[in-house]
Amino acid sequence: MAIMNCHKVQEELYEHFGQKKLPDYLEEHLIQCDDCRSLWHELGQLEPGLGNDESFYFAPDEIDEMTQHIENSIDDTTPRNVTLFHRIAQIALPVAASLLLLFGISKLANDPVTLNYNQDSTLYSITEFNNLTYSNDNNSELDVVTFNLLLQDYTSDVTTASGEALLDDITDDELEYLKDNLDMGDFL
Amino acid sequence: MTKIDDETTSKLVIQAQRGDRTAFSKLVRLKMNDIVALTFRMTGDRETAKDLTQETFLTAWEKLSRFRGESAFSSWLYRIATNKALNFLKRPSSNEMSLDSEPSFVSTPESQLARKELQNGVREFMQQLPPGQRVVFDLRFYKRLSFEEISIMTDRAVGTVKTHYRQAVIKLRQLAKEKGWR
Repeated sequence: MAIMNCHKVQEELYEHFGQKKLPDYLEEHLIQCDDCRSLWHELGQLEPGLGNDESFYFAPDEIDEMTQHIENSIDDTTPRNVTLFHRIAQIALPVAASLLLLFGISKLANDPVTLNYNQDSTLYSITEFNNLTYSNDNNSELDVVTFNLLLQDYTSDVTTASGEALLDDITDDELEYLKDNLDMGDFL
Repeated sequence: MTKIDDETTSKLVIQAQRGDRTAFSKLVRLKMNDIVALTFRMTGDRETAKDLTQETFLTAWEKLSRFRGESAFSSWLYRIATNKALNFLKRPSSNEMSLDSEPSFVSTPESQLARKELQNGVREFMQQLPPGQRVVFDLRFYKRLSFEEISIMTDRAVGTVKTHYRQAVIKLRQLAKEKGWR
């Protein structure tokens, strides 16, 4: 019965090369099988010729020299201070920045211009009105600031100096364009 | 930190991870011979072994934050060192390494000679093995790692690792017969 398992046993003997103790089932097989016992004995004779890990250690002066070289090299590099805060920050900061960016983009997309009309209208009319870039071309679109000012006055009585100024400046054609194209439903 | 690392190593690793260079220097001194012996057997050349060992520790310093103690610190270093050695062995120039650079051992001339003979014999044997088998043989025979540990370290199946080791030992047996080693 032992002979039948020799191939498998010998494979395992090779795998146990260098180990001090064999499993019991292999030991039992070796007691009964001359071939496998002979192989194990032969392998055992090879071990001293390989030495051990310490046979390949370097001399202390070489180790000192190498250590010194490494110490000099790490002095030139950034220390890796890896506190829990740093680990979290490494992940959290990029995520937070991305979310902020996405929030900003979506905010701009939904509400391109947010002007506070509760602020002093007169001041607004002075500073913003001078920057209006309205074209007389009927096909061109109104810039956002002009559009919002006109919208405010279109939907209520003209109460601001800027509104009056704008209504004074636009032509009948432009007013017609606004009436045709301004859909209040879009804003409600 | 794993149970395999002793208390001193574990403490030094934690201190080094906080950026303590002195602690890392102590770790280097503690593990240097462990690594240089590995790279020496892998490459068969002392100067190359020194270079790879230094590179190993510099990489370890750079990537110390990634060490989470899932394996022993030594095993983590072995992994870096074997990867560096394997990359070196892939280079065409790695076949031209010198075989006769003189070691400087602090020992008697007789023991120095015996040691050199042993090293030459091992070097001759190791150079007959493909790099994959060489790594497995070294980690198993010299570093006393289990097949499971080597499997994790080398990203190979346990069965493959066992096959590599078996083939390496069969080659060793053949070489010993050819050379009359006993």
